[in-house]
Amino acid sequence: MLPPPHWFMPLDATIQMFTGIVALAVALYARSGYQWVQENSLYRIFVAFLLLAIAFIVSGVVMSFAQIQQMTFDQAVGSGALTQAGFALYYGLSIAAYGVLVYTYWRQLGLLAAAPMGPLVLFNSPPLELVIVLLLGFIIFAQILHEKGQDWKGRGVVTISFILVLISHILILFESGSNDYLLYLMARGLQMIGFALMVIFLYRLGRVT
Amino acid sequence: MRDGPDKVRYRSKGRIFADILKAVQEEDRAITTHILYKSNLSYDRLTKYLQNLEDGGLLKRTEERDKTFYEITEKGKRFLSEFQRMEAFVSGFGLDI
Repeated sequence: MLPPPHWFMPLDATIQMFTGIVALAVALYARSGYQWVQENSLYRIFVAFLLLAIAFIVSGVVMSFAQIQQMTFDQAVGSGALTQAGFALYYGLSIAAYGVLVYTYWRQLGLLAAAPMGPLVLFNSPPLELVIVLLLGFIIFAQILHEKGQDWKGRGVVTISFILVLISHILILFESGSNDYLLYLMARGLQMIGFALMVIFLYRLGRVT
Repeated sequence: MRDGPDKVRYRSKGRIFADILKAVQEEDRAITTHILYKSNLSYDRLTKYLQNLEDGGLLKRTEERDKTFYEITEKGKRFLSEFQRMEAFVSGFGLDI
């Protein structure tokens, strides 16, 4: 397999930073509403997206740092205490964020399917991407199940957004087996599009209300 | 699915406030009976919530010829608008408030 080109790491860092900023925008939107409405589900969405924002920004900073240190992509993901700590933080925060969302759905929709996920996340320690895939799978399942056929199409946008993020994590699962940087880039691109859809969602919300 | 919270629909405090404010806004100056009918609450609970809303500056109470009227304030209108915005936002995630 050929090594990734020079533009690969800066592009990856930029995508992660962009995704982080979008996640932060969603978090702040939820927080602004929570200050008025004081609803727990809003607060949990705020916390989940804040954690995601920090996770993506940390990942972007780690990639930028590795680029400055003139590390190759393989070196960045495979060695270096600081980059390893950064990636560990990225996975820890992402799992916590999706876990908070799963908890929110479980509290509101009361889905039994969520119950076995707690111990899975806490004790079994499967590959971290797999945990994220399972959490995202549950979130999408809960969203689709809770469809009520409302006129407002915003829900569809958020569901598509989460589906794209799920596909991106599935691609990363495959990438870790094949070390194909194009697959990795495609995954990051899908993740970015998924979060960009959130921006459209927030924009449409402004027009609806 | 278990017999979850949706079986008997739980109304959060925020939603109850919004229902009361909507009822008041519909009438411009609403009397308690109208709010009671529209908000689907017991008299005791409604009295408590009306006091909360008045204390929070979301409703204004006036007395006229032995009758009590409620009017929505600017803050109350802002709350209602924020509630509707957040209802749509949370609905996007397949959740309710």
